[in-house]
Amino acid sequence: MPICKNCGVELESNIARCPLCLTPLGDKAQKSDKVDPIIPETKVQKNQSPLLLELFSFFSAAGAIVITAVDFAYGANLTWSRIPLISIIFCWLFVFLIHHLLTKPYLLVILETVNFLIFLWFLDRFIPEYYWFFSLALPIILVVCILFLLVILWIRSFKLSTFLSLSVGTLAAGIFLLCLEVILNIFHQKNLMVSWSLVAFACILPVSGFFIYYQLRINKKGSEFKKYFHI
Amino acid sequence: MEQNKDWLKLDNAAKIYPATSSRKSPAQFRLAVTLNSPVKLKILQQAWERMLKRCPYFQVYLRRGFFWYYLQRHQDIPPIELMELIPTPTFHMNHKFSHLIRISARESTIALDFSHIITDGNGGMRFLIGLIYEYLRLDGAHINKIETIPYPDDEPSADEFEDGHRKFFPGNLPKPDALPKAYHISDKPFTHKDFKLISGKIQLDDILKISRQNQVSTTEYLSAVYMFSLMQIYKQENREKNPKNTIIRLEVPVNMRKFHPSGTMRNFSLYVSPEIDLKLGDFTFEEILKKVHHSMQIQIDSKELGRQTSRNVGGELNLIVRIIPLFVKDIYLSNLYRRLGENCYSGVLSNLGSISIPDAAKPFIKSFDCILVPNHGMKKSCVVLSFQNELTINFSSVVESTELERLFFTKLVEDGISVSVKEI
Repeated sequence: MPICKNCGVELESNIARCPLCLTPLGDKAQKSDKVDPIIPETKVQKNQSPLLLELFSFFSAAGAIVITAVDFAYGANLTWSRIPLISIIFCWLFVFLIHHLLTKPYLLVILETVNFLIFLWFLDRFIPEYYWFFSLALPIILVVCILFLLVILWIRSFKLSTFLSLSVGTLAAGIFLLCLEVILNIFHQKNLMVSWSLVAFACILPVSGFFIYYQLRINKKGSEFKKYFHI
Repeated sequence: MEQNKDWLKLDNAAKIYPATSSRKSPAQFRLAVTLNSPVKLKILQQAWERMLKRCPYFQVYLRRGFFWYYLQRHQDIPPIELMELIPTPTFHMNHKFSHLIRISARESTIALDFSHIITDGNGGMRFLIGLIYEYLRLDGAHINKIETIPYPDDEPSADEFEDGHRKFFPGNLPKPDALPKAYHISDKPFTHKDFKLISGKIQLDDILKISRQNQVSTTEYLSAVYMFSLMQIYKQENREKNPKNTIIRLEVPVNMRKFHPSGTMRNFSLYVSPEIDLKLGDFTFEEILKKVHHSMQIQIDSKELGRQTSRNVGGELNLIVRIIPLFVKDIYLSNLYRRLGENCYSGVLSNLGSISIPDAAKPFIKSFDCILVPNHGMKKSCVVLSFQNELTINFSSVVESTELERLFFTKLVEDGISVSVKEI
């Protein structure tokens, strides 16, 4: 077997030159032609999750300080700046809780609800003459929170499939609309009559039923439906 | 029971391939065996038909569902073709009913081309050994059986169909660290042919000796040689003056069957990623070898690899990801593949290890071969396997320059290893 003088590797006997360095067999070393380098564009990727939170915190704090300073500069007291300040605090807490509690959904929902309620309570206090927090915002938010927790609990306890989860979710949305109309009616007219929410609920029921039907269809063995829509 | 169904879900690792596979990124490999006598076509046809019926998870074609792709059982057996020395990339997946496995033969060689959608190197090699067994048996030889190989007279078991990643999903774990972009050889891929192949053969004893001297494994040693060669090309390209993408990182597949008791014939591999950062300056070969050894020792660990499984399977199980229609997923997955795959690695080195075949079959077999079809991102790929006392190193490349291969094999020669090289 011939050996390439340049690379030192053993070659097949029936070839004319080294496939690595293109040196003809028996001749001295001859390097292969180089292609001009083309340097590609670079963007270094980093894990940006903590950095994004830090940036968000920085800009939130900066915004809050600027707003407070401007308000104080005009009157040595907090007046108009209270609403943007409380909004900034609410937004920051909202992002912070999601960032830290994403793996604990029950706790996340409860704390986000508390955060939202405190925010609305402050808004209610800062906007005089028209009080709506205890009679309107509180019951609506509590209904949303309870329904959300029940849906998560139901899905997790029974290990529901995707489509059954969607069915439960749409059903919960229908129940929310019923509760919403009751709360609105109590707030405005002091009665418990429901009308439009019943129609909406009646429309949602077939959608929820469709998801259950869909799950039953895809459970059928060998179904084309199951193949095409497997999730 | 998966065995009784006429369709299969894609396994977790395969989910990304249909969205990303193209002529530039084929996700395809070839396993070949060369016999000591010319192939008997009629017997091969019989063995092939029996093996494919035995392994129905390979007799499939790809179909689009609404949310995910899936594999539909094929009614036909792919015909035996004349073997091309360089396999044509891509199983035309957009063609309806296109098989994801192909068989070809020439003279004494039988070659199987696999799409990564259906299996990985380990599953493919076990299928090839089963095919050889059946071919030799039908030819009149008495071959003993060895474990883990699918034989046509056995029924397929449920664990051959399983998705190992899903089965051994460790739950939610911290994600693996994000990898910055890696250095890629700057040469432009050629357009006049698909790719070229340079194959080196060395004595297994030689490489084992040098690996033992350095107290590293063969894969670690070869990875270090690969990275050392890439570093020299980086310097030749004068990147120091305009340092971008200074990290040289290899993708080294790990067979997860070593960590989990799975008999799956489908994809069940993950990757470790040894790297050097040239911002820190030049590295000697010994420094690279030390870094590669320690980083692979740390990364080849079931808990560390479990983080990758957790990320991959967790993503697949995410409700939002699942309910997104497939045409949107296609865009997302091809982007993900670029971010987590091609962009992050300078090259790939896959070591299939030592091929075990039944003792009675050894006199009939001359050699084994494997080709990993390269993609246009990394441009070159390297696959290593050994049979008896011969270790084969195949470089496939979509660029004309063979500088990397030259540096790689020259380094082996410098280390006292005798190398025999040929170009295909």
